[in-house]
Amino acid sequence: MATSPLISCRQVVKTYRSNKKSVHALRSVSLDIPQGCVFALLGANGAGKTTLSSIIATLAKPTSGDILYKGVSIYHDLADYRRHIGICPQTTGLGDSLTIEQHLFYQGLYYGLSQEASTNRTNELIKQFTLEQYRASKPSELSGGYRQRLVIARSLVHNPELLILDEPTVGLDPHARRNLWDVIRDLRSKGMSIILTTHYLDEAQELADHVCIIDKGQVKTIATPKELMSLHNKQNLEEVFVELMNSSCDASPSGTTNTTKGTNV
Amino acid sequence: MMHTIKQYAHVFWSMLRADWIGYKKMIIGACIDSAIVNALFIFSAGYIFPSMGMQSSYGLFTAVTLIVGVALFDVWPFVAEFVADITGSKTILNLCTLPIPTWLVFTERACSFATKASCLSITSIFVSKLVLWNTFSLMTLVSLRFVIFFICMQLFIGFFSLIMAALVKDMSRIGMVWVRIVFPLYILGASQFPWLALKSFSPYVAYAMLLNPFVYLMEGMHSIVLGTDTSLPFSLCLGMTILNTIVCAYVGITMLKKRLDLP
Repeated sequence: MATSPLISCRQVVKTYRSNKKSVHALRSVSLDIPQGCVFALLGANGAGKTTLSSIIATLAKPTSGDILYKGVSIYHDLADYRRHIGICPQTTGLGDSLTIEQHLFYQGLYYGLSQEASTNRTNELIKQFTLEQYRASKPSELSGGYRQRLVIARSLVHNPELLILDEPTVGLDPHARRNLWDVIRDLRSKGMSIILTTHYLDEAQELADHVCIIDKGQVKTIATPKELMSLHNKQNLEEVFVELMNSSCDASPSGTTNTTKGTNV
Repeated sequence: MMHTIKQYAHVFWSMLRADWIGYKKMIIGACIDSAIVNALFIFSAGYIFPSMGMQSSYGLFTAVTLIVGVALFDVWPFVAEFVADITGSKTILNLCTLPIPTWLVFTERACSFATKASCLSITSIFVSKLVLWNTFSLMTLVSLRFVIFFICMQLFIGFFSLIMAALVKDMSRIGMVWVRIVFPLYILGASQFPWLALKSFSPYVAYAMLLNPFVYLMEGMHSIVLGTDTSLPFSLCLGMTILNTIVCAYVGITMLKKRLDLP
């Protein structure tokens, strides 16, 4: 039996207007994100995947359309919706006035934890993300991998139902990348829903339960990685992606085609 | 309803606390810097200018002006820091995803500016006392109307700073906004001369200047310390400052939400 979606995007349009120019970042995107899975948003640079994840993360406003959380518009009570989500944006956005420990502690207070509860949660996360030796360090003193760990740890302080990761492994070395993959797998195994925006196809293949390929602001296909590979008769997602992108260029140079080949989630 | 307000207040207070962690390390240095500048201004206005024919009360007038001026000038580094953040590292975005309405995030920012600036304003009061000694009585400031006006003034400056931050497109233009907007408003806003002096010089300019919110800040503070004979009525200054604070809050928050494209 299919479970009701955690997030539903309903005809989401996003147009950026500057001076006399309009850029259509999203063109009527509709999709459902089920609970308890890793849902990867894939696409070339400028395809609209970060715009979509930002709208779901309440970091951008759609021009039209709606986002539903468990069937209710998130704009009905934004503050309440934000209680249920954790966000790791592309830019880590960590100020240097606080130490790693303070970052986590205050994040706990922001989400309504008491001082004691926040201290306990901070200690728990510091241990879970092996940040013990950096407890009193400033974010600028950390390597890229550890900074990313801190951002993920910060977004988990309040045990969100949905975690939104926007290009979490960009700029990380292969070892740090693999470590982060383990973290994501661990979170999924605990039942957390994850939206993973990435342009690393191997990452999506490795981690995602469902893949949504976005091209020129439109959903091109939504399917499981296995379904996509068997449907296109390819060995890996990268080949599928390249084929889809090539067909998109051949069929519609203006990017107005909306071909949904995979199985809708 | 009460539960929600309590939750918002908790987040708001925690944000202010976190904000002050970084500032605590800078505050002594900022107070020393501010004290040096204030002392020089007040000394010149109180002792040198009278020897050139200026009224002897000009030192006191300047001291009162500086209670407002210091808040306005010293909040500017925080505005610059805020602009650098929204155009660069974007730490504000983490705050914009917290379980509070977005407008409250910017309100906290304005209150943070206000509390930081008020530390320096208070320093300027004590510096004024030290420099002017007998001509400046701290007792004139021990009143409810001073406390109320001081809080309103700092909040106005906090929210006005939000508008300035929204107007600055990037760090290279921060000086431009300062010189073209803030500085003229400050100079013509009864900071160097009372509004009545401007009226006797040019009534048209003086009446036009009633649109300048700084006039009410300066005149309100002057009326508390120097009396109402040479100033606009205190109640008018307080009322207009509250009204201007509300307008600045609305405009500043709307501009920042639009700039950052936040729902």
